[in-house]
Amino acid sequence: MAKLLAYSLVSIVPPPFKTEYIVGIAEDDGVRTPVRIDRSHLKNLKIGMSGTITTRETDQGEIKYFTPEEVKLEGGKVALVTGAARGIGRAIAIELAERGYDIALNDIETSTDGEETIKEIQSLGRRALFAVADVSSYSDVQKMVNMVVEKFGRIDVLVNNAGINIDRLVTNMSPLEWQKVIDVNLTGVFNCTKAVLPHMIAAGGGRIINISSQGALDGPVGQANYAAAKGGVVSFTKVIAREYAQYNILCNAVAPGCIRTRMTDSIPPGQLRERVSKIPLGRRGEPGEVAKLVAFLAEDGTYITGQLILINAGEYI
Amino acid sequence: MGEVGIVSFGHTKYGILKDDTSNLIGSVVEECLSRVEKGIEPKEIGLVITSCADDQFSNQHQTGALALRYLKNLDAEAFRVEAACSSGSLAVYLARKMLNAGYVDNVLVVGFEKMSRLPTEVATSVLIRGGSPEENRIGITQPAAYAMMAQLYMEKYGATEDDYAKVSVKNHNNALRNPWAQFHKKISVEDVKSSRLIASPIRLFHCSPISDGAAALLLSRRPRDYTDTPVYIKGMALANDTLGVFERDDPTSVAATRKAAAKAFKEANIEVKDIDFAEVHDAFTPVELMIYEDLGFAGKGEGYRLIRDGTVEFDGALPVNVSGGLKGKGHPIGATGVGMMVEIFLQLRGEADQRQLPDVEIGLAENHGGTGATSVVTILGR
Repeated sequence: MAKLLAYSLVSIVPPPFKTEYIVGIAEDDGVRTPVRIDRSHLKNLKIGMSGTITTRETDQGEIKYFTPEEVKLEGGKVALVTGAARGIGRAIAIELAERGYDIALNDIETSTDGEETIKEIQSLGRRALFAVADVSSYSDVQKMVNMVVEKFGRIDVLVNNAGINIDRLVTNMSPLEWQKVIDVNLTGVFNCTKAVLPHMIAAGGGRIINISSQGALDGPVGQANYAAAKGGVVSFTKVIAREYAQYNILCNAVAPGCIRTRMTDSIPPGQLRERVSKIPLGRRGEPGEVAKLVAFLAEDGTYITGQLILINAGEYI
Repeated sequence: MGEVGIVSFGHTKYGILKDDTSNLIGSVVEECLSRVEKGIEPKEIGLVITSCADDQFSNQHQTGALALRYLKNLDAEAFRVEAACSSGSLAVYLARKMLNAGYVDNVLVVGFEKMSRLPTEVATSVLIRGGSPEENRIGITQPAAYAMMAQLYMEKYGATEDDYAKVSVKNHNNALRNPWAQFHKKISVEDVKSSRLIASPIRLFHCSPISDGAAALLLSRRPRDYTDTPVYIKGMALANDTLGVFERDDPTSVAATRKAAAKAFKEANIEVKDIDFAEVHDAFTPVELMIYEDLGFAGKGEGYRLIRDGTVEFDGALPVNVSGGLKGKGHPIGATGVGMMVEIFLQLRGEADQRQLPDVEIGLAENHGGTGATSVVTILGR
């Protein structure tokens, strides 16, 4: 078993390195070796701690890594999912809970749907808390994020899912109706991301998954406000990916097509049939299918950031 | 054969300068010649040794020959030496050896560096070359290597981040009195502790800056032919250690400095208590506390007490880095060691103006390369 003698988080990095990293000196059987340490261990590092030294092939050749002995986390990994009382958000919360995450479930108000989701997460053996906040209000969001960090100690994954739609042709859309959708669907993503980022940076990394929409790309008639906000989310995602890659924070966007939720249930049956008939797989998607993609980005996807991933059965290619 | 003495100097301001390598060299060579009190002919100087740490900074090879252009004596011999941050002292060390050997009578040493030519991240990748290949490859930058030394020193001996910050504050205060200094800015312990993290626990205000600058010294076997008040090299030693911090028995000490100091004191036949003041290599200010110990100013693990009790302040019993040090005065790498000796030359001759220390007879310069793979300790006296 190796011992960590000293370490340093290097913030100003020379080329060819791009992102902050941790270096250290480890000693094994009297032999000292300069090592790298994965940034995710930052919070738990202590001089003298035990661990193992392994060799990894990298672009810089073989590099020794020190991995600290398993440190028991207080509870498990934590995900904050916004707009998670029902629909796609609910499916994401449950999918992540099944994969071992404690869930902070956000919605704009408490509801029976929300309570049921909480119970379902708890029945999976995970911790869940109802984090009520209007994502369009930064002060609300900040309070919520502080509360989640206080209760659960960390936020590993943020899923910006909360969204609304007020569909009108632009000639019939009031400035207020435009603004309301922008505030929730776009500014809400900014607010939650901004509030969560410092915690992820301090913890040594994280994943942010923004739920955009196929509407960001295919010009949905009657959804100028919604499409503009969802398009904005895609651009925002790309910037976050570049700005925070150095802190091991990966940010991607998911654009669902026609998913079986309250939003598509409200489409008049004739129109819905016509839309579905144009989908190559010939059916609406299930929220759980979107949730599996989000979980992949949260758990795996170690080499994916700044991307928009469409999940639409080929409706828009 | 008498002692080798320093008879003249040249020195530019340190900082981000417009001058290129050639201008820097030219200005200190010409200044150094013009300052020789009893005059000197170019042909009397048989050897020029230049020092700079890296060609990527200087953008110039054969700087020895370049210096001859300004000396106006193409019959002199000239070459450059390199040992990272200790390049300047190494040039003086070699000059003295050549003089002692009787190879020439007078040697001109010219240290310089033009660091601001490169963007910061490229400069960082140049500076990393001062470490071991194993450290370089995984990105242990100079600040990161010093950071681990600083972290261990705190862990082992109970020094605090405040102690480290106080060294930066002291050296910035001293730089206020030095017109050549890169920084004329008073800073507080809080400023240091809240400055940007570079490599934990090293922050921006622990780091010496990227600097341009040059310094020259004229050394002679017959110093009194050129001045009535030469400054003599009483003792001078070079010592080496491993390149990597990870390879060292005790990473909380610069062992090469410890070895060099012991040899230099022995040669000068003096004791630590005879030292009136010192210029030391505070490339990253935490190491200054370790240097106090390696030079014998404090016992092992007690260096931080000297910054706490004021011993090393400008008006303390043993002032350290009254020039501002690398932190406040600047660190144009190849010039640094030469510049330290210019400071001691001026202090011992009573010519240091507003930063003049009272009644000083013996000064010490400590200049090490990288984290201490090369160290030169020089003891100078009137």
